[in-house]
Amino acid sequence: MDEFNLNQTLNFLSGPPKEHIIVHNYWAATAFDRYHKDSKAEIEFILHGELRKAILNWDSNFSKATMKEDKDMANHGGVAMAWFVMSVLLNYKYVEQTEIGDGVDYRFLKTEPNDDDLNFLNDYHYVEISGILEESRTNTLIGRIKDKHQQIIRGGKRDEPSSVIVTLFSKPITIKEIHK
Amino acid sequence: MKPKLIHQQAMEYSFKAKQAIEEEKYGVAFGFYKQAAELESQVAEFYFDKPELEPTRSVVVRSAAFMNLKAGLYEKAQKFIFFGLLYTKDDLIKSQLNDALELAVSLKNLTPEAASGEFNYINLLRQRSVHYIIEPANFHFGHSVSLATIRDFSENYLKSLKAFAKSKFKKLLNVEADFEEIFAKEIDKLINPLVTNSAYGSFKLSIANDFQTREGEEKKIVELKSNVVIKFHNEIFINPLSDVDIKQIKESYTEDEVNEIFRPLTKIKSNNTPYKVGYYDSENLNKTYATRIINKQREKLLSVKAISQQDIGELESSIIHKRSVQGGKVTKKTIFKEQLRSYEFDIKIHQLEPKDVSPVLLNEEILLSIYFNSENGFKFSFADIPLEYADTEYDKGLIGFYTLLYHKILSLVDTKDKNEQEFRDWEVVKRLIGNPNALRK
Repeated sequence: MDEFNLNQTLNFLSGPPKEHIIVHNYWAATAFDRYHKDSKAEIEFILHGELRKAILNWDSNFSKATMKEDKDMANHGGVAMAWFVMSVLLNYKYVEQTEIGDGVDYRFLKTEPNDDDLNFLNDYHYVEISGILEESRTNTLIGRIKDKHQQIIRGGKRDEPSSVIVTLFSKPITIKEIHK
Repeated sequence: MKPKLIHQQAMEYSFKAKQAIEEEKYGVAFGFYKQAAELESQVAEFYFDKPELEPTRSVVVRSAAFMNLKAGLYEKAQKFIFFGLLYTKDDLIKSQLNDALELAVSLKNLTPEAASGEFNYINLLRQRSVHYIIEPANFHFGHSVSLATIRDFSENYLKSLKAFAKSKFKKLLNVEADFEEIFAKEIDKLINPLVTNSAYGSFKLSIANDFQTREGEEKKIVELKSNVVIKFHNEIFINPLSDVDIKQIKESYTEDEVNEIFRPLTKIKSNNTPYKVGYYDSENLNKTYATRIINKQREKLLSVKAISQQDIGELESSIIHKRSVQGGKVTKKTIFKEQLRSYEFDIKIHQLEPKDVSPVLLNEEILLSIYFNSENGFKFSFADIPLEYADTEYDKGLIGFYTLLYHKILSLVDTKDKNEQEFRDWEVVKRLIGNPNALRK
């Protein structure tokens, strides 16, 4: 079984500053630590329908003083896991973020555009990202994946290359499905 | 110019601003957002005359619009919003820019720092919001709802929410009986949901409670108050009240708490409420209507207390002018005094006793709601069928209500083509009376 460390994203992904990736990894680690001991767990990745089991390690040695909101933990932790999957497991080397009303949206590219590329947000793979700490009657992993596909349709990106990536931290499992 | 690098730097400042907000350092966040907005504006302006560089142009213009709003620079934000609305072909970006425009207009008279704080506060509140829609039960005035309807919903919703919060805080803080009155006043201050969005058609509103740490508030109180609306919505408001749910509720809350939490909800969600309440799932935005609370659930959930005249009680509000005179003596003068009397209670009945007709036995006990106030007397209603009867005397009122309900049943027996409401009422009647058609014979 493969063994990974969440911090491998730092070596594979460019775009956001390293500090930015580390903070998101802290959120994911805080979420994982709630359900798993010793900063490691056997995780299931279901990538385009194929199951891949692995051991995932993470760093828990940091202050959790500001990591208090469950909603932020699920959201930011979900982003960290999506960055890990896209870069370490699927070889996308670059992510570009842009500002929207209540957060940020994410576009991945296989290679980083040149610094002088003026149309640097072209030919991207758009990803809808989400995280769930634990499932409830109204909040399930399968339901969330369905919702994210719906969001892509509503957002007018049904005909563009896009995916959804959702992580359930309690199990743990990360599912990536291609929308188109 | 290398727009990619400048854009990345802007996003870095924006990230730092968000971190500062998470640490509740709002002044620091404002500084970072200003730097981010300055850089992103440069990038967006660079693309103004480059229509061939889509989709980058539209995405960056949107980013600059929101970055400027987050920095409280609404005039600059408007420049990018208008440009985007005129030139972008992307429907999603257009709709996001329309939302941004609404916010930019509402922030217009504030200083940049105040506007930035306001925008970021409302954004965070919106992330914690529950989204409701109130629709009229019949379309006499189209889909419009009246102010009275909104008042009814908000009054009862607030009563229920506050009772829920009181119970949760009491458990959390182990409040002793002596301090309950002071504690109730504190709850009034802490639990005060804010409207974070509203729209016509029918009437949509989003609400959330404050989440900021105010002076003297402990961490556990802040955590609870921040999430109280969502918790209330999930645990109470949309609870389907199955037998198992009711059992769990009765195990988790005292009898008084159950009454305080659910009695106002039965008004919002009963069959005779003149409006329907729906809510939107925050992930998929699907609309679901809150299930009605039928009499049987109400009977299992709420306790019925026998009442006396003393229970009806007397409320008196007075305005008194107090004045200290020489020698330390205090004089008091009553300027205004008003006595108010009101009470609400239920009674269980197992048969109807209409005037001049034999009693009609019911298959099951039902709860009649009685609302008393000193102006109108007693108002009788039954939650499953929209009927009300009022009289200044209790006994006359009760007989009057029986008679009204009896004639309603007869009218339903006679109506062959029933409309939606009549069909619902008929289903209730069939449940209560074995063979309602026999009443005609």
